[in-house]
Amino acid sequence: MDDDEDRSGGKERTTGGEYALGALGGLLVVLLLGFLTYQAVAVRESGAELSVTVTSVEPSGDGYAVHFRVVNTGGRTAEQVQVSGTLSQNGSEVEQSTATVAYVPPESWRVGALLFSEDPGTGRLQVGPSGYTAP
Amino acid sequence: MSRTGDQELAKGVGRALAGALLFALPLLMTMEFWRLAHTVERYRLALLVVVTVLLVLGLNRSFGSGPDGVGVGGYLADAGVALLAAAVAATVVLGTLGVIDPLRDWRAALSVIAMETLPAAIGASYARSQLGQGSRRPAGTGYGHEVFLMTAGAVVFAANIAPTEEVVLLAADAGPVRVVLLVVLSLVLMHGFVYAVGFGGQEKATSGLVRSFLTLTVVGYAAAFAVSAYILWTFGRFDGTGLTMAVSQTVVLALPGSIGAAAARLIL
Repeated sequence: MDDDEDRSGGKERTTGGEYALGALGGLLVVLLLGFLTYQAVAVRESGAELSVTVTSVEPSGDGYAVHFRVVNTGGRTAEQVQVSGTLSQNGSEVEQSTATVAYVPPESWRVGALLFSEDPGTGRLQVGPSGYTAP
Repeated sequence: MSRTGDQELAKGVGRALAGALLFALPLLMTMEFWRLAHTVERYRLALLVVVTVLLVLGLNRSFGSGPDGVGVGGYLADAGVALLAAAVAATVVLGTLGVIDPLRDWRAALSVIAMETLPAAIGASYARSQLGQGSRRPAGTGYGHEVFLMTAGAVVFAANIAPTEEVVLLAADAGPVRVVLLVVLSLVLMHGFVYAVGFGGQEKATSGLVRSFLTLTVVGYAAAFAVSAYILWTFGRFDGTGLTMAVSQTVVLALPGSIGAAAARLIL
C-alpha cells in the first residue's frame, strides 16, 4: 500500500506523504490529550489568582488614564474581573475608578485603563482586583 | 514519490483545509466558544477530543471502504490528515483574527483548538474524500452506516450552535407546549428534507412512509438528541440545571442537529 504506482487506480492509493501527514495528525492528538491530562491533574486544582500592575499613567482627555495589566496566574478562568483604583491624598480618599474585564483565562493577561480626573501622581494610588465571578 | 502524487496530496490537503473552514467557521467566530474553551472541565474536553478522533476514524473508514478501498493504514492516515488540517485551519484563522496567540499564549490556544477539532475535522474528512476529483467512494449503504452518517451530520450542526447563549435563553423561555412543538417540527423537517422536497440525494420511501419514518427519521432524531445532550453536557450547560431545563435545551439544540442529520443522509 505504500507504493502508489503499482495499481491502475493510483488515485485511491495512500501515498507516503499522506502517511507522514497522517502521523503528524496522530501526534497532534496525542499531544492535545497529554496537555489536557496535565492541565486536569496539575494546574486546574487551583482557583483564579489575579494580580494587577500599573504599566503607565498618561494624561487622557480631561483627566488621566492609569493603564493596568491584570494577570491570572491561577488554574481557572476568572470572568467579569473588576479592577478598581483608589486615589488618596493626605490619608483621605479623593477619587475612585473601576474597570471590568470580560474574562481572564489561566496563565493569561488582559490590559485596560482606569480613568481619573485628578492627577494620580499627586497622591497615593492603590490599584488591585476587587472581584470576579467563577464561570 | 512521483510529481502527480505530490500534486494529489497537496490538492487533497487543500480540500481538507477548505472543508474544515466550511464546517467550523461559524464556531470559530462565536464569542462564547472562545470563553468556553478555557472554562470547560479538562476531562470533558479530553473526552471530546477522543470522541472526535473516533468519529473521524469512523467517517474515513466508511469513505475509504469502497471497491478500491484504502485499507486500515490508509484510513488511519486519512483521519490523521483530517485532524491536522482542522488544527492548522483553526490556528491560522483564529491567529489572524487575534483570538489566540499561539506563540505567546500556547496553553489558551491549545484549549481553543482542542474544542474546535470536532466540526472542523469532520468537515476536513468530508471535503477531502467526497469533493473533487479522485474522491473516495463510500461503499456501505447499510442501516448502521446510515445512522452513523446521520450522527456525524448532527454533530457538525449541533457543535456550531451549542456554545451560544441563545440555546439556554430559548430553552428558558419555551414552555412545555413549545418544546413538544419543537420536537414535532424537527421530525417533520427531517422527514421532508430527505423524502419530499427533491434535493439531489433524495431517497424513495421504499418500505412505506410509516416504516421509513420510524426506522430512519425517528432514529435519526434520537441520534441528534443524544448528540445535542452530549455536547451541551461537555460545555457545562447541564451543571446546576434541573432535568426539565436540560431536556428543553437539548430539544432546542436538536433542531439544528436533526437538520444536520437529514442533510448528512442527502450529501454523504
